Formats: sequence, C-alpha cells, structure tokens
Amino acid sequence: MRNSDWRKSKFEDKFANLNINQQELDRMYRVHLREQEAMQGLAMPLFSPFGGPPTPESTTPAATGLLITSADFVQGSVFNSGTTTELGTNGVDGFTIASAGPNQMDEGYIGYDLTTALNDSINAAYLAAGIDPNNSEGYVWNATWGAGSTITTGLIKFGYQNSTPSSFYIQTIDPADPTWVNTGYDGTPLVGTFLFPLTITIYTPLTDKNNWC
Amino acid sequence: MIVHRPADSRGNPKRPWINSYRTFTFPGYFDPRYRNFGHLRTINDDRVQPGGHVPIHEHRNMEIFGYVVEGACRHTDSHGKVMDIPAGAVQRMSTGKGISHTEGNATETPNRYLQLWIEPNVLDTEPVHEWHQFTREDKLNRFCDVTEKLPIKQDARLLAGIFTENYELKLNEDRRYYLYVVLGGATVNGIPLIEGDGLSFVSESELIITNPNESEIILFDLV
Repeated sequence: MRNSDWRKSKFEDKFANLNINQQELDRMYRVHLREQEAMQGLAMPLFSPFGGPPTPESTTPAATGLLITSADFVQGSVFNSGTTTELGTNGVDGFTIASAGPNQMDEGYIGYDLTTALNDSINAAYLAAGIDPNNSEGYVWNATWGAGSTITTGLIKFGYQNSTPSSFYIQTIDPADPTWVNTGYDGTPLVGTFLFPLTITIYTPLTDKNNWC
Repeated sequence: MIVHRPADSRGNPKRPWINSYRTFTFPGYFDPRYRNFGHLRTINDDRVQPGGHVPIHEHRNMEIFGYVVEGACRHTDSHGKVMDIPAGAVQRMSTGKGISHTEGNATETPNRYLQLWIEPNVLDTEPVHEWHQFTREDKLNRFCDVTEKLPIKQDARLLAGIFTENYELKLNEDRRYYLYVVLGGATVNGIPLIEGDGLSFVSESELIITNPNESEIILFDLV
C-alpha cells in the first residue's frame, strides 16, 4: 500500500462507526489534508504580524472587497453571548470578545436592519463569489478590520439573511483551532476587539460553514 | 406577562433538502429581538427530505432534544450510534465535552423533527445520547414530563401534551414558561394559536387551553 493510501485508510478508520458514505469520507479527507497544510503554516510564527500563528492565506485573486461601515446598519448586537460586548451607540461600532465561550456558537455579532446600499453590495458580492444571496449559510471570508482593532486581517464566518429587515452575522475564527476548515465545525472564535469599517473578500476554496444542526 | 410569537414571524432558512422554521436566532436566522428565552436557546422546526442529512459536526455544552413529529430521524454520532428515531420519540444529547453527530432522513418519506436546545448549568461533562418512545396515551390531555425519562443538566423541564379537550395548568409565578404549538390549533389564555405559534409566560399563574383540535403542544418550564 502506498504511504498516501495508508494515511487515507487510517483517517477513514476513525469514522468507521459513523456509516458515512465514501463520497463524504473523501470530502472529509480533502478537508483534513487542507487542515494539515494549515497546521504546517502554524509552525512558522515569523510569518505572522501578530506574533502568533499566521492566518491561512486565501488563494483568492486580488478582488474588490465588500465594505461594511457602521453607517450601513441600524443596530449591532451580540449573539447569545456571555463574553462578547457590542460597542458604540446601538452597537454599530463593532464588538469585543473577552474569551471563547463554552460552546461553539457563543461568540457572534449580528448587524441588523441593513441599508439598501449594503444589501445591494452583499448581493453583488455573493453572486460574484458564486453564492446564492438567499442562502443564509455562513461562509469563510477574509476580513480586514478598522483602525483600533486587535488584528488588522483575519478570517471570519459571515452569513447573510436576505429578508426584511435584513441582517448579517459574523463569527471571528481563531486559525489556531484547525477545525475551522471543516464544514459544520465552527471552531474557536478569535478573541479581541473588532471595529468597523470591515472589508471582506471571499475565502477560497469556498468554505461553507453550514447552519444546520 | 404573556407574549405571542406568531408562526409566520419565525425565521425560515431552507435548502432543497431541508426546510427549517426557527423561533430564535441561530446561524441562518438572525434577529436580535429573538435570541433566547432564559435558558431556552433554540426551537428549530425542521423538515428533511428523504436522503437529506446535515454535515457531521460537533456540539459542546448544550442539552439538545430531538422531538420527532413525523417520519423518522436518522441519528448518527461519534459514539458509534446509528439509529432511526421514530415519530413520537424524543432523543436527548447531553453534549458536554463534545460529541459529533448528524441528523437526517434515511427513509423514503419526508420527516419533521424539532431541535430544542437548553443551556446546561454544568460544563464539560461526559457526553450522553439516549432516547425514549412516548405514546399518544402518555401525552393525551395532560402534560407529560419528557425530562422525567430524559433528564437534563439544567433546572428546566420539557413537557408535551396532545389535547382533545380543555385543560388547565397551574403555573409557578416565580418561573417562566415557553409554549410551542407542534400540531393543530387551540386557544391558550384567550389567544388563538396555530401550528408553529409560541407563547411566553412570565409571572403568570395559570395556563388555560380551550378549543383544542388534536393539538400537540410542548411547554418549557424554565427558571
């Protein structure tokens, strides 16, 4: 057996009891390989501008980002959180995550009641990324945060609800927890302060973070 | 205080294989007005087409009920369990330190199940999955305490009833309650309700069901 085949076989053995079909196992193994590649990147802290693990690079070609400012939505709100605080009047300046919560969904931020201009921009960005704007599942995006934020660039899970009123959802991603690449696994939120304006570009390969449980 | 949450005000994310109605904010439905009710975090009312299932994923530190309304729900988890939970049954996952699972539909007909999440009062416990089959008789014209058979790690109860006649329940004014109409319609404390409607009760002393029509109703008793 070739070495690569042996590794794949060992990987699949871990899920032998889960009755997962071969197609899904193949997909999971591809994700696992990407995860391993990301982990190799984590071993090179000199490449990080923040002294910690580097953010995995998207292979997205340079693209015009989707800009979200504090003036683009009426209300910002944390999502069921114990440790996240929204900032500024009506919470629209951004948010602070003090620590990762006890479960994977704790630390999130909602931008609610979006302007028509932002709705149009999100619809255009989604279509350009190949995502149906009516698909409210979260996807991984590259993020550039405003001045005063803990980090300048990073990754987020971003979801959009194309309804009236419309809203978006943000969860920061700590790349030190490699499960972020897996569909369905939210991983660990990155702690810190995150301020608008926010510019995002789609992360490739397109990574659907799922919203079915 | 009683607050009515009409069925048509819920979120409704859907894909070709799943149609989900969501009472509280959840990935895919975001509304800061409806984030939780006390420790009750989630009421997702899901319909899954044959062959559909969610990608395998992990949960931690959440008490999760799966309340199967129609068809059968295929449950698969990282403890090696693969089973079809039938209509009338309730499964409970105490996710604790973490458990990976999928839920879906391995049958030839669509199913419907409710995912009900309650925050635990203790963290990082050993994960547990169990289920219990409830009969119509268990629930007929009374609130059956699901949490007697499937206890959870929180000061909370999940009650379920099927009502064909009027019914009254004394409430503890120091607790809060959330009612959800699973099937049928009824009038509750004078408010006409249809399938998918919710009612929250805070500082109320009684719950009065009138004009039920084979109405399946669940009630959360929360601190």
